[in-house]
Amino acid sequence: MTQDTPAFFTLDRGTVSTAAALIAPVDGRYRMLAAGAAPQAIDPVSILEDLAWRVARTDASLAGSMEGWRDWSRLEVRSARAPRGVLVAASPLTGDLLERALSGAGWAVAARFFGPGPDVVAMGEACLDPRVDAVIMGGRDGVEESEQEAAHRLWSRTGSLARFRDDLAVIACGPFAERPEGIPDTRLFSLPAPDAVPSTADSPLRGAAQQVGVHLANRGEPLVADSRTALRASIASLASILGNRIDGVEIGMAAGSRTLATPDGRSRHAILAGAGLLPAELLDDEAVADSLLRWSTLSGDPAARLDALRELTLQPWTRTDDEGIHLRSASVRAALERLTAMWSTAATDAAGVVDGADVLVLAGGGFATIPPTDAALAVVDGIRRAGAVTILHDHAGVLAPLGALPVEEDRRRLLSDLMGDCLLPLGSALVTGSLGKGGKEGKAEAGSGSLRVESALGDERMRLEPGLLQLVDLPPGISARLDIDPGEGSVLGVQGRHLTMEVRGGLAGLLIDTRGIPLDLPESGEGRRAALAAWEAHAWVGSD
Amino acid sequence: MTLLDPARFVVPAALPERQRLLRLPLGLADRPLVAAGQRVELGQPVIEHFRDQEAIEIPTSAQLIRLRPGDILDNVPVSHTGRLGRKSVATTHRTRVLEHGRDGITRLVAGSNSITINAPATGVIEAVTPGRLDLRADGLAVDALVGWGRPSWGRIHIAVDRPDAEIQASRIDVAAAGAILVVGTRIDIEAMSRARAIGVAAVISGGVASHDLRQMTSSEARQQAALHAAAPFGLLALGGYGRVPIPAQLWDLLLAAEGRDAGILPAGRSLIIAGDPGPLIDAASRPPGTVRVISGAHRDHEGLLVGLSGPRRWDGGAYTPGGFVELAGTDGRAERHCVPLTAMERLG
Repeated sequence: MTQDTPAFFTLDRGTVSTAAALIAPVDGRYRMLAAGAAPQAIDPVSILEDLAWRVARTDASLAGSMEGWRDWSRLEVRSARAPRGVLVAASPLTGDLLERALSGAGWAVAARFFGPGPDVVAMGEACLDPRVDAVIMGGRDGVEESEQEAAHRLWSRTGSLARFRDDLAVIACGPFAERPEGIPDTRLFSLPAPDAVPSTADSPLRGAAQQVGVHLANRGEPLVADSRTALRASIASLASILGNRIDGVEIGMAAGSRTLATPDGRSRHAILAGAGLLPAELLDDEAVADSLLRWSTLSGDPAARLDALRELTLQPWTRTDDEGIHLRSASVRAALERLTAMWSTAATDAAGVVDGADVLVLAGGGFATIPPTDAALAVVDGIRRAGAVTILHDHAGVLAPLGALPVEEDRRRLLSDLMGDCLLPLGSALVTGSLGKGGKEGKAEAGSGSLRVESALGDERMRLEPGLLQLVDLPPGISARLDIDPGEGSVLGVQGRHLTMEVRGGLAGLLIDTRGIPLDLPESGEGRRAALAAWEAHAWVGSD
Repeated sequence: MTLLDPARFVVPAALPERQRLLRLPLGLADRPLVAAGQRVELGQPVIEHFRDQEAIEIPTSAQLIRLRPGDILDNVPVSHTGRLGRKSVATTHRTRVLEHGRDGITRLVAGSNSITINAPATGVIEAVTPGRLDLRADGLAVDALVGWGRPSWGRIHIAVDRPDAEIQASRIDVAAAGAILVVGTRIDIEAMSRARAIGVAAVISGGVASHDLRQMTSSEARQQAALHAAAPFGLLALGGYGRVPIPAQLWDLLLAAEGRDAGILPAGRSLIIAGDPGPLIDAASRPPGTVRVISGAHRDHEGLLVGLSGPRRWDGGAYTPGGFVELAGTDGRAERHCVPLTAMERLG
């Protein structure tokens, strides 16, 4: 894809919807001329034709040039459902390392058997579950002899139990030379042993497990680039272009992913099956459904809410009404909460790239239909981190397809051209966390600080009181200078001096968040709902 | 460029399918009662399923090693420790092989508390593997959104006069024993319990409430603890969760199928109706351009999609493309409404 390419489409095909964009050179640089999305069952060709048709109808001078749309290149990526595996290891430690690698590579763990003598019937039943794609055995060199012996016994058992199904893959992660009897080559995979690295760090096993997972989940489908791998590449390129630390957060239906990239090319990345928008488990497990509904601001019969949530899970593309959007909004918060929890666990022993970013880029179908202000607020609710951050939304699903470009230079050039079109500015957030008490022996009142927002629109002053979420109108294209006076207390760990920072506006404006980290929410259902509704009131103005 | 056909942007409704391949799962100890290539009739026993399973360990021998995982091994003696530590043999196990361990032990799985799974359709057994039985079903398969219970079969009996009617427990009488009862918009736990008690084979509804399913599952667990297995019973909700009418095209299909034999496979969320599929497909068919609204203000109304509105902002704040649909108004005249394209499904 070079500047000689006349026009092309991007296609990001998810498990629920397809996002497409039409990109063409205009006045010497590439512009996104149209974008759209439709349920996955709609023929992508119809979506592409609609984009060309819309451009032709909007600008008569381009109508003729749209005639050849069928021949234009397509940059296509695809995300599959999360592969499911039964994990087996001869010791809890090896099992833990195996699970770290697999869960960071997008695998959902259906069951785990970590120890020298697992229950053979339970293990067999877990393998028989038709939703399970593979039984995965982990083993390591250099462990005690007793573990090695147990591992080889279990490897033999794993192969035997796998013979109950003719569509179950068998994956050996580690030194298993013995070939299990009766398992054909097409179902047998040999991968590296698990390493002692966190699930957000690259490892030979994680990379290989991701490829095998995509292969198994895409059963029978033609091979195209994996959307989440490609998105990671784009986030890394974006970090280099902008010279900022970028936190790319993607919430899809089947899984979520996160990439933390620095301008010098380092990154952490994980694909997390548990961070999908609407986990299939909520159809059977009311505890899973409750974990989503506790983020809901909808009042009324809880049983009816549960039914509505399950309806949404069965047909996620259908609900664009008020209740459906509120349920999606709650589901996004719950998914972000799960993603953050899994990421935090992994981050505790990660080296190199520490948490924190200047820019947060949102991607994936999870954010697609909720109002921009609510999307920004959901992220501030779900990813609790002190500091200021600019929030952008990949609203047309362009980043992942661009990440599939094999040449980094091409990707950077296109991203530079398209950044303004494909990254919707949602706004900025200043999250202070709990306001510290300053003064002698920390006896000063928290909340004695103030904030001054200076922008082209004027000056605004506000008190920084604990536990509040305030919204300052700061439209897209407008920057503001924040001057924070901690007063007698401390803000962001600073006391006794002013703190200044630059932020950028967006559709949601500027969120000033002095709530605690993590959020301090009432336990009771109604109290919690009322607190969430009060915070989210800004997001739904004019929506109903 | 020519005008776009609006129907291309609406998700097609799931169509009834002829000759569907049904997959019936086998547990570790379960036994298939049929062989590949065999023709089976609706209701014929096909699987002996065991509600309880236990592992048995015996020394591997030259005779045993020839058996593969999943193979049947009967008459395995049960060892009981007798007086003075002597082993005495009283009974035998019926087992399947799990593994020949590297430790010289062959592990088997024995089942107890058996129940019979019957064929939910007439057809041909295409494959029998240790973990699954594939049945190519004759007749017409209809998809449901929710399935609960065990495979069952009976003749279709329409118990209500409208797809959005709600059946009362008192209206379910013993004449419905053995039938697959079509009950309209939803069935509450009281009516469902009565249906089950009088021997109804299965219930077909528009929707089902999650809390009713929870109660049914608890009830099922209590019955499983009992010595004698209850008769097979299942439920299919064609429209989803909550109070949902049976989709009109499927209601028409069910009316045409009344009195026919049918089976349900809840795990596969399938209803399989025996006999000639032609009249059923005709009853469910709609003219080109017909759509059904599946969520929002005009839910469960059918109409004609006449054009695209382009993207617009809907109540709730979503910004998605819409289409103009002509729906029948209360006076029977066509009224034009703008509906999100994602809130429709294409019928014709």
